[in-house]
Amino acid sequence: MTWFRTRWTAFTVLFLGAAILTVPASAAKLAADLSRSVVSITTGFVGSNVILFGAADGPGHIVIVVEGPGRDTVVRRKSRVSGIWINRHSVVFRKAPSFYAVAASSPLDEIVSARTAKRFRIGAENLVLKADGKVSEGQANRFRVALIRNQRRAGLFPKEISKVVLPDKGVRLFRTEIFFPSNVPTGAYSVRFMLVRDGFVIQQYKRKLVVGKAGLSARVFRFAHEQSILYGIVAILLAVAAGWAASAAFGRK
Amino acid sequence: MQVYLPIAEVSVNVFLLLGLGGAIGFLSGLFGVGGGFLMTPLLIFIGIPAPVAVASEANQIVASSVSGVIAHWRRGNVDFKMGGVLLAGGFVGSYLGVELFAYLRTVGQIDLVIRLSYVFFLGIVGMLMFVESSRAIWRQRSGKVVRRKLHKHYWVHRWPLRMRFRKSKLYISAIPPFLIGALVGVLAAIMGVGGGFLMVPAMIYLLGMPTIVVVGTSLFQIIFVTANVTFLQSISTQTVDVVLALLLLAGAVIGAQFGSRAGQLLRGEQLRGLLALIVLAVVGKLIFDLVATPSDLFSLGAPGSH
Repeated sequence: MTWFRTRWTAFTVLFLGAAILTVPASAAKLAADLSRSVVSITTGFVGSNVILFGAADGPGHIVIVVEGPGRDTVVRRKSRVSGIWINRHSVVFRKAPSFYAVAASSPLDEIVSARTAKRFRIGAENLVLKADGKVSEGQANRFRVALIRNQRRAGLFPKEISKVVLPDKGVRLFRTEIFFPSNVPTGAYSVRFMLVRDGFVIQQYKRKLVVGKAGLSARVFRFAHEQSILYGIVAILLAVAAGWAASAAFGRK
Repeated sequence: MQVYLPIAEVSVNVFLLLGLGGAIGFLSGLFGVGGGFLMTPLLIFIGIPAPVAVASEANQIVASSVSGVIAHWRRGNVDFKMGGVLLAGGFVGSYLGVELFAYLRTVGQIDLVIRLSYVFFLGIVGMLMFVESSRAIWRQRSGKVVRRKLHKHYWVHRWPLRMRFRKSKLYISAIPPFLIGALVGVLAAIMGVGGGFLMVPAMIYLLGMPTIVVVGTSLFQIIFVTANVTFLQSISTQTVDVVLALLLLAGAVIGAQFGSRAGQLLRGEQLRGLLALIVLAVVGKLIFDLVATPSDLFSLGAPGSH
């Protein structure tokens, strides 16, 4: 009856967790949180890890999907025109996620069926990327694959699936780390924790994560966008002052 | 040590930027050019988005031209009247250039246009400079002396609106300098350069200005044209990265001092020949990138604007 006992322990832990996290008791099969809910891009930002952790009420696998804010994205294809490579064809994808990462406690194909993966957008190839305008399905597919490949190269759709570790088999606690590179887009991210049993997602739990510029870099960015006239003048004055200072310091040969 | 550039939205090593600024500053001090035509491609090469590289480089050139023009002004080598006419054209040109830049960005062809303008203009200037300097070196060796007239008169000089430019010892129509200023202004906006490499030969060969006032006058008008580009880019595309510009110019200012000292050890035509080789090397690299099959035919962008 060990199975029965572990189940009970998990329930107790989860009840505690649920109370702390103020999750409705009825939905308390899965509870989770992030080590922080804000990733701040400061002047020294070189990328950042966020720890995702939680507890589940019994056996099963954990799949975590992190999606960045949706942005309209153009995929352009170069063609050779009289010897030179030029952007010719393009397809616009509406609200394509700007970041996409998956973490799982076992290899994905072993724990979720293809249908479930599609339905819950698990794995970059299962993202719903709608092509804008009149584009044939084959064409759209080629551009979709290219979008994922380009985002992978930029480190925004990490190919490697982070490992979700279950440190103690008795109490079903889990944790994983997701790396946000220095070129991470800003905005509101969604983090979906899924409890998977027998190939089905039996519980989904969502948290929000905000990636934003902070400190000096935030101030400069806001200044440039909100008061662009003044920003332009300040940029020029800084340059003139620097040039004058340089000639005063080194000049008069 | 990494620094996150707030507008470019990438993080870059501080010492890489200072080093780049220093190296280009050295060359610009050595050859008496702004160096924008080398800096902008290099910035794009290290991963700065092309629009940010172009706009921020314009901002940096403001600084290097200010420090350059002060020295020429002290020696009385700036023709302010000629500079003013070139400048009037430069304002019109840079306004058109920024508009064109914004339009090309929305249709996804900005990278191509930047590259093609580089290949075209740098190619021409590099070739001319190479031919001219090797001839001069050859002439020097063979010991021939060629006597030159003060300047030639072309039919464009007799166009209406004639003005007297005392410092340049010219009495010519104001239209040709205005047009030259406008063309260079367009290029300054699109290519992220001051345009000295075009302006200087145009002033010498097309307008017939005396060489001594050419560099100072060109620097004088470049300050205003690049300042205008900085201002217009800030308003219409928000691609001026002040942090990037300041880091580059910190390196450039110091490099330029060493460069100008090193320049005194070489002869004029040797310097021009060397510069021509560097220019042609840049052109060669750009042509290769345009013609060689890219590793990925697809690329991403944002529709419309940023």
